[in-house]
Amino acid sequence: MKAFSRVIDIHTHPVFFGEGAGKAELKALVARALREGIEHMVVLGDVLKFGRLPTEAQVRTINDETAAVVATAPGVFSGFCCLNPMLGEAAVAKELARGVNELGFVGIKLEFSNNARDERVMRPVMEGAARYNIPVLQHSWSQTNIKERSFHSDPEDTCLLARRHPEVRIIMAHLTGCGFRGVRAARGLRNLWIDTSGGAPEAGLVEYAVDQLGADRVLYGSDLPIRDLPTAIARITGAEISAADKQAILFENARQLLGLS
Amino acid sequence: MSIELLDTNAWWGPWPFAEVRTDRTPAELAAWLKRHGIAGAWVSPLAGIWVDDPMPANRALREALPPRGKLWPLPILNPVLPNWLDDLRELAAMKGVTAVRLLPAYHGYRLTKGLAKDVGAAAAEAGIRLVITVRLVDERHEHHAVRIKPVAVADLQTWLREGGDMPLMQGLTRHEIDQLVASGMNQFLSDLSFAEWQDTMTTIARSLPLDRVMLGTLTPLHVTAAQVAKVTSSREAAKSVAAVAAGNARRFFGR
Repeated sequence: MKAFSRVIDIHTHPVFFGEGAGKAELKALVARALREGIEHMVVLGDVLKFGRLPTEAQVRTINDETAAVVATAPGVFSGFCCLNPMLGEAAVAKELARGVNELGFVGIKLEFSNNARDERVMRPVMEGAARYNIPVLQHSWSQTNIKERSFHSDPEDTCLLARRHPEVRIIMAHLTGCGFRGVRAARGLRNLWIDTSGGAPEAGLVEYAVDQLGADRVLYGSDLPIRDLPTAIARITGAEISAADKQAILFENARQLLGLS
Repeated sequence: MSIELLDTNAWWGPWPFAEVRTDRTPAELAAWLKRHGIAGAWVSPLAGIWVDDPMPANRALREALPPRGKLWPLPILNPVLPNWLDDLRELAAMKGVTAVRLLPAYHGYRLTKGLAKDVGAAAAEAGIRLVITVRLVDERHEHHAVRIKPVAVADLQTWLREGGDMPLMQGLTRHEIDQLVASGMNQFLSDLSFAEWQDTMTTIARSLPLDRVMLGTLTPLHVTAAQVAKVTSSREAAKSVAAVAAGNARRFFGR
């Protein structure tokens, strides 16, 4: 099986429920990532540390911790700004400005404070993303069996968000959670990418996403530490797609999206 | 690193719910596994899941697998069927069969104290090991028309108290392994098909000794390469990696 030397991981949580924040742990993580060919990781923060509805102060704490992780290896890590859209327009705008201008974040991370189809709540976030020209990574999971759609985004909700805001680049997280139906929902959306993180390594999904959306719409993501890096990468390298498509998913698509040199 | 890999959780036959390769012949399945460095595998029939009586699927599997090949039958037993002891005897007499698989969540039964005692005793008498399938599919991703839940940890605890010889449990998550061990129920073996965390084997070893852990790829439902990577990428001692990769399986299945 062909080895791929260059990888960008679009979906990591180096600090997870408080674990992993030590310098030695982060150093070990970077060393392990480099061994696997991962040269850049997007840090999404310890986003559930305070539950699904963090206060303004808690959101600041999460983002400060993300910035601290990025500072340990700035060439390897870049950070996305955690927001709770339910806190309202003023709080969202203030924290996003701090995240981009002071902490150097290059994207927005949304968990499940609210459903992405709630335009009244989402509009300030998306206007902010457009203003700073940064992508939004939206946690998404099929709600067919979870039944939390009042606050938890189904892939169809995230795709609706993308249709409403064609000027904003959206990463729909968790290919495995979105499933075949989620991939179909993303057809034709040129401002939407889907990351390969989430759940166990179910077969057939990467192939289906490439077939339905094109390899240029798929981004490698691990969801570390919930998932193991070599296993997450092997979801791509072990898929029955071309070597060129694998390289695009593992590296080139994210490089372009993040504007990395 | 070149190590012998044996897969304890491979499947063959039709699967109705996903775009996965179910058209492979046993020879093609063996070739697919070999391409991933897997020298041999214990194979169960997918056709035995969605039926009350798995025996026709078990017999078809036995017929399909070459007698001197590297795919070994791991047939399915439904121990709540009338006359299930006849099935156990037939399976125990099949060439190459040293264990049978239970699918409580798919065959609609709980692992009660009485069932554990009866099946544990009958399996011991027949010289057959037991494999308990805790889950095949992430319960969040089951087809919308089915409501399959994984076997509850409480039921597994009941089994471990009453069911006799140490079973192999397949499809446990990392947290379920932790829960079982924390409750003092550590007389079981586990595959890694649903167990994953950063540095998977090292993480699992904090709860369950690696001499009780096995490779299980869940091919064709899971990405074979991804499951193999859990073992081959481990930085645990070479002896432990070799045990998880093949040695523990050889000991459990007596091969």
